[in-house]
Amino acid sequence: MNHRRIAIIDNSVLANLMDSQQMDLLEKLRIVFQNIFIPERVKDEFLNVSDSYIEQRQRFIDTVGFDRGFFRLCNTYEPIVLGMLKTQKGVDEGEAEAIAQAEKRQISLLLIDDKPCKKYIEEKYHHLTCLGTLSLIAILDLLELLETREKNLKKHYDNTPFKQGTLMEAYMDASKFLGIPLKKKVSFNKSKMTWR
Amino acid sequence: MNQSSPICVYICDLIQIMSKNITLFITYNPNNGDEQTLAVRLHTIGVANGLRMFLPDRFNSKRVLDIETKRRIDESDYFVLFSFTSKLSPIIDSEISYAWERFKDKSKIIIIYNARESKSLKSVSDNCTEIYFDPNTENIELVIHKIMTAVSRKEEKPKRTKELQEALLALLGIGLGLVVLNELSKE
Repeated sequence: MNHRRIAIIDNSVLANLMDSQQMDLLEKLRIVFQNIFIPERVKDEFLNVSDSYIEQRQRFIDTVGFDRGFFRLCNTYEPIVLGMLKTQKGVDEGEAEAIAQAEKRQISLLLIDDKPCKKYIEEKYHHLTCLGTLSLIAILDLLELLETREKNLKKHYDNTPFKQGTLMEAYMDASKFLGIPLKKKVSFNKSKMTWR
Repeated sequence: MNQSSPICVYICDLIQIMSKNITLFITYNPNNGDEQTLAVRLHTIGVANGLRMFLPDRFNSKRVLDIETKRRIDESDYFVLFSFTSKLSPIIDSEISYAWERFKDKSKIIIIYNARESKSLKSVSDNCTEIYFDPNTENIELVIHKIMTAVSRKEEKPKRTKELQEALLALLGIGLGLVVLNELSKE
């Protein structure tokens, strides 16, 4: 029986990992998740970039299909739910589709970095769990799947700067997700940004 | 590609009509990776240029036509299929049958076959726009011209029809170009 979870990914996380040249992390997520779904609108946002980014992104999307592979496109939603979500403050079109598709597919995990949208989900969709890029790095670290932990954190920091407290929160979220109790001291040590 | 070629002109037309409300339903055979990749690429290009694009919703079943797919077909101005295989999925047949029932102008159902494969649709393709295209030998501009001739037969509101056709032909031109590139990469 497969106990790995299914998640829906937002453009913020996908673009963060891609732009910080951490494609290897996307590959490693196969060990953590059964499938990761990319909503149609997220795909469009992901590919709506300047020429310098498009080649790598298009190459990635060309490997993704609706019915094959670990990463899959998805386009199923209730139009009424999607329509309502599109009107909500702090939720863009890609995020609206990600939430609507999570609802339709009964998926409870969203991979998202956007703070306003995360806040909206926490307030309105209590059954949905949000994990950001930093939490994904922390999950892979706690599972001892990162050979170059500091390098990965540095790359992410260079692309999207964060504070020590945010990194600590990410480790707490990761430990909760994995069901691995994490001692405060360990969590604190892991959050030290000596590599900066 | 020559900048002044009709294909480039069509692409420019596509960009110019960004604000027009044109909807295309693009479908693919679920068992064919090339068809699916092409449909997804055309979807992306269409959306990026302001077109309203739909792909089928096959989450619930790969055999039974979903109510959401029906809604998407109902809201579309054109139905497009690039059919590269002789083994056609039953769901494609259902989608075309539904579109055939719903579209007043059947020529707006456009099916582009790979001429090297045998014809894969047996059911309701009468009066649809069926084009045979050999990516290895045929000129894309001629194929576009064939499509244009076929979809221009029945004009109700000439001005809007022209805008729709320009957008559609631009996108189909890109689609045909991608098919040729795919064939070249296989050689």
